[in-house]
Amino acid sequence: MAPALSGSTVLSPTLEDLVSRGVDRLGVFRAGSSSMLAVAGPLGELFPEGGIPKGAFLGVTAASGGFSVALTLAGEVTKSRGWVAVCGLASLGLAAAEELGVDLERLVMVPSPGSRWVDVMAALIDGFDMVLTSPCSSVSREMARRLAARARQRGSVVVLMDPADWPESPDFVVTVLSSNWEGPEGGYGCLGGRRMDIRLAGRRARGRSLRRTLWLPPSPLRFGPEASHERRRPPIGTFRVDLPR
Amino acid sequence: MRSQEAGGISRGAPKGPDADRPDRVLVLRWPDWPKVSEVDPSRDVRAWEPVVVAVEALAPSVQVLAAGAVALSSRGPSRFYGGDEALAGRVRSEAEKAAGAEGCWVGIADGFFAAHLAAGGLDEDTGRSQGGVRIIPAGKTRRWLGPLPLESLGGGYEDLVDLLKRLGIRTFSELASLPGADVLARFGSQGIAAHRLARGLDDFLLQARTAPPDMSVSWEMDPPEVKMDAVSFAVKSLSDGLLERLRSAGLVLVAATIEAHTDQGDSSLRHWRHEEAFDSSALAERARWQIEGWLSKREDKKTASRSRASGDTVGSWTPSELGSTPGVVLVKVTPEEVRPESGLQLDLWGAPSGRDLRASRSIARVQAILGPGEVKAVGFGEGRGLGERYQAVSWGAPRTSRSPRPWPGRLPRPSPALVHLPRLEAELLDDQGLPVCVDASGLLDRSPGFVVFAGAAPRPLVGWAGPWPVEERWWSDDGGRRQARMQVVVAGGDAYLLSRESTRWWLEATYA
Repeated sequence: MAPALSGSTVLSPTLEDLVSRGVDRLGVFRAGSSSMLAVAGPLGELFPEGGIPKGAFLGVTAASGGFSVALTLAGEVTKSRGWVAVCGLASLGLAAAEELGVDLERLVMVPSPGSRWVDVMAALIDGFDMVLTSPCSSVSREMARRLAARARQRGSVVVLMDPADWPESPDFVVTVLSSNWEGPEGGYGCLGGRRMDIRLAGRRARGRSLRRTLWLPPSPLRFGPEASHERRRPPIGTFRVDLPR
Repeated sequence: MRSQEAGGISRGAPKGPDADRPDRVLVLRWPDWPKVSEVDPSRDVRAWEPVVVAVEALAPSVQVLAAGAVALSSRGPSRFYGGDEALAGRVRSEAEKAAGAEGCWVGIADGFFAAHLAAGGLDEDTGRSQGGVRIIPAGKTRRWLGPLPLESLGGGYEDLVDLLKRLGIRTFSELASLPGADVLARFGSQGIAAHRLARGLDDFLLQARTAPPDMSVSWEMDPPEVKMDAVSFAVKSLSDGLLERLRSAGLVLVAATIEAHTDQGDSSLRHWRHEEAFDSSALAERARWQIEGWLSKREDKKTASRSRASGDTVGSWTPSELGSTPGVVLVKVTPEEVRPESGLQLDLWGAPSGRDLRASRSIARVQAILGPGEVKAVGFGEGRGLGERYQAVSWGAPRTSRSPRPWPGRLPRPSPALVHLPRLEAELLDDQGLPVCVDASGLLDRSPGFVVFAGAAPRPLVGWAGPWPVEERWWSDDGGRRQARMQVVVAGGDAYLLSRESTRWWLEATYA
């Protein structure tokens, strides 16, 4: 059983025991059967197993498109009928979230957790498949460990925007190395899409530092060898005919 | 008291002995009210009407729950008739006389829930109701409920009861002994409602409050309507409208008065109450029962007096001989008691799956930590602005649905991932550091080279697009709103949405 975090989240031993027995016997509160959050496209290829292990802490650098990356991951959660919570991050753009695939019916926001950030996070981790947040600077290392343990136990993926302040090193860190917009040219056109070079590092990245190129918003109409993983050049020696669909 | 309970959260013991105790309620019930109901519900209610009239003769403010059950607030009548026993006995004998049948139960207890349980239905060895009187003394409700199984909570609680039973909690006393905060945290608002009932605190009446005034709806019929189908239709649309108005105020309807008038100058008025909350078909059904039962009783009386007068048998009577059949000229529905809509809209999701249930419990816990208004869902608005199309609405409040219409003048995709509300100050400069403005024709007066955000160093631009003028409500007296928007990309790949309004540049959003 996860250790109790603070006054308001402490459960009486009797109920907690009952519930844990319920969990053992019936799997009442256990997360979905799969232990992996599937992520499509080049973003998924970053991760050693093609997806994010449930219960992982994931840091995403916020600059140059990090929020769009995080929202794309949230979209993958709602696609599989999961629930996403946003803790803090009151200025998150909902139009962008929807365009990046998030089902807004399954998005819940807690815009101002204030001083109860830890309690709120603990509650959200219990019930949501993904929690998006920006770390609270006053969290101790001990508290961070407890939250991580709780997330592992409940199978909730926690996405920390700008994890530099976080006292623990997250399981994975996604960094946007560079981002280039296409579209605007000297006053004409408008922002169309951007090409991002992203890198994965972190404790559970198995020592590898992986890089991929990601287009956001993803578009099947873009060309170029690295533009989209569906259009990657087949390895030499294989013969492929692309039939019109 | 009420404000303390507004969130449905109860912490610790009640302030005084009576602070939290609900009103004394009498429930009269035939647990096996004629089985004809399955064949023809309206006949069932027609037969019930005389019983309601008989009880109304004994006490005011009788509320009809359904065919076979009425409730009334018993404190006053009990004092008048000299105690709970006297009142219950009187009500029982009058009701049985009016119904011409035995087997009626009368229960008196603190609160509707306990009174309803006390009014029989629990010792059905034979499958038939024996009838009787059961009075739970004031303040003893919790002790009396204690050994009863949680199944008595009835429909709507089935999933919760099932879960509790599998956790080994079978009776009200076992549920009541758990700490309220933990029950709320683990089982959400439904859990805490059951917990309060188990403790003898009846949210049913505590939460209910007088309906806001001027919410009554009525339908006048000209010419008078004689067909019951047409009356039913009118009542259905009345109910739809009324419940919709209540819903937009975040309320559900618990009790209502239905009133009908005929062209012959008489009227019927009846109070109805629902155990949970009326939906529009339930409300319309009650109205149909009432009006049908009332009209048919009038017919019976008339027929009887007619046949007495003429000496004819009933069989020879035809409506045309009686003159006009009564036509309904007015139907009026007045909400009496309403209750805040419960925080969770599980029914909108269909049957809650395990994940939905998990999420809803988690939401209830955050609401318990921060307050119910601090958890938001996404609603939809209309407009061109970034903050206008999507709105954060409190979780559980009714959500506006998405407008199918496109909004011309809205920004092209992709949308920015961060929207700054309120917007931040910004400056746009050309290569020489001179401010860039938008001229009267909506164009930039010089080519932009740098953008400066409040207090930061100037950042060189690598690309820009726009400006696009937006004029809103230009027809209105206050001059509407005029602004120009543009996108800029700075070195390093960050992009921003700027707007020019009131001779200033603003940072509206970041393509983060």
